[in-house]
Amino acid sequence: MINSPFSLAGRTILVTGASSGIGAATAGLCANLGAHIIACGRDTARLDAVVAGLAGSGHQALVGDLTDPAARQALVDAVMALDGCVFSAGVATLAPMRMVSQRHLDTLFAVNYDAPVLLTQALLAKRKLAPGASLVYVTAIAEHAAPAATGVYSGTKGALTATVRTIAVEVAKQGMRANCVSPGYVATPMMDGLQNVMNSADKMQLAPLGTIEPDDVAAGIAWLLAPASRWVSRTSLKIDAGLTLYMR
Amino acid sequence: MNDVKNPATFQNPFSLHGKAILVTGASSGIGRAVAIACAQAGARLVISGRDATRLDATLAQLAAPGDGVHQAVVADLTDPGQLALLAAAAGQLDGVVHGAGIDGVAPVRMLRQAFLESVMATNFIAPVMLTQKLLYQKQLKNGASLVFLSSIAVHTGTVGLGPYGSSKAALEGFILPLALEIAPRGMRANALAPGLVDTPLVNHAAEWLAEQGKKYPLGLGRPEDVAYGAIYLLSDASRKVTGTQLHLDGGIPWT
Repeated sequence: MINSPFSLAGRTILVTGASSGIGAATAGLCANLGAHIIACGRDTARLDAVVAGLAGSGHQALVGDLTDPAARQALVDAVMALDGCVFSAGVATLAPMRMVSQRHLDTLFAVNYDAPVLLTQALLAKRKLAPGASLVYVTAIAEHAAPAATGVYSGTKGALTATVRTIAVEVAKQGMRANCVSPGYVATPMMDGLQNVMNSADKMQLAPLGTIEPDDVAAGIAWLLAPASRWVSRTSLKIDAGLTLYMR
Repeated sequence: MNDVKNPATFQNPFSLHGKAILVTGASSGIGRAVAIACAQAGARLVISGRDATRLDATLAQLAAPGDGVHQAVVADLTDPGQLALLAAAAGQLDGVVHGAGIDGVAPVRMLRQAFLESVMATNFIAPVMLTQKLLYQKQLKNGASLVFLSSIAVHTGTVGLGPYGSSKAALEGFILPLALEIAPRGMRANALAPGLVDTPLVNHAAEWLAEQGKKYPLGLGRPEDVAYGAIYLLSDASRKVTGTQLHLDGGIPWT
């Protein structure tokens, strides 16, 4: 396993949104594959619990809200020579177009777009990424599907996908890569939080291969972080249990 | 193996231990690299190709499987009889990588029907009918993963690649209904869409290849790069990935 192109042995990987859902699963799997994890999240207790459960050693918890410039600065100052970054911090709130407000726009873009883009900027400007580093951004099939009331959420993910293409072109000179992982409906606390406004269980059953677990998304992310995907950049990996097969 | 709570699976979700994988076009290039990498990942292989000597050379490079023995079957899959013999020899499978393919370069003005038909026969009809045969004979286990070799030529235009690009486009169209038809048994179908990879299919013109390589921000692909993409799609790591095209192209923004 150590010499396998799928191993992450000795690699330092930053995971945002690591305190739950896809981020927590990604931290867990990457640690299993040998990585040192720098886990970032807002909730101290949950983040500490995730880090305490990681296999191996040398992991670190950094508590902070990445929409706060000071927190981003502190994070960037605290890290060095990252071999991989997983941008999985995100929020989903729904609003039909007639209910959309400036506040709704600002909140969703601050977390889902501004934070990952500005964190990428700071990591590049401060030279905190190792040669050959792999950047993975968690988007959503919402960018294609955009069902009712997800207009702004889908917009944040579509915007991020577009920006990641540019990031990929720019970082290729240093042998670095940038890709998106675009999940369908995943069984996470984020989806549970939407139960009162949409029936997410129904949505998951629509997918030909059924419910997607956070571990399924984590496995795709781990592949994109590993040397095995050395030649993969500027693309988006769909992990949607076949849901978009129905979508024009 | 499909249990998400199975710690062995998520310790190394990319393992192919205990899986039987059929790789066509295994006598050279990407198919050979896929076979070698799958064996390294622990799979038992059934490999197929037209050239017995070169197929045996691939067989000799395969790491020994955990159980059973690797098998090599010489076959030209454009011949229905030989395709049937391969299917009969393959047994129960956890995955198939349709690596057999030929290039198909002809400007439209110069295109001949016989040439177009030969490209379609190898690149489209053979993998489709092999899939048909394996499904009809119930040789694909629940959760099996089918991987088709497509190309960036489906997604960007390249002068002269009409026959080749359209044969691969047909494959990508084929996997959408296929993915839906096999999903009830947890089976999956996906395509790999590589850019220019340094293989015998294209490396007879070294100067041209080097020139093309300059367009690729991360350089030309190696057959292993495609093989590792195939391993992701064959393994349980991708058990919820179906009906997609995986782009492997060094991040090329335009061809």
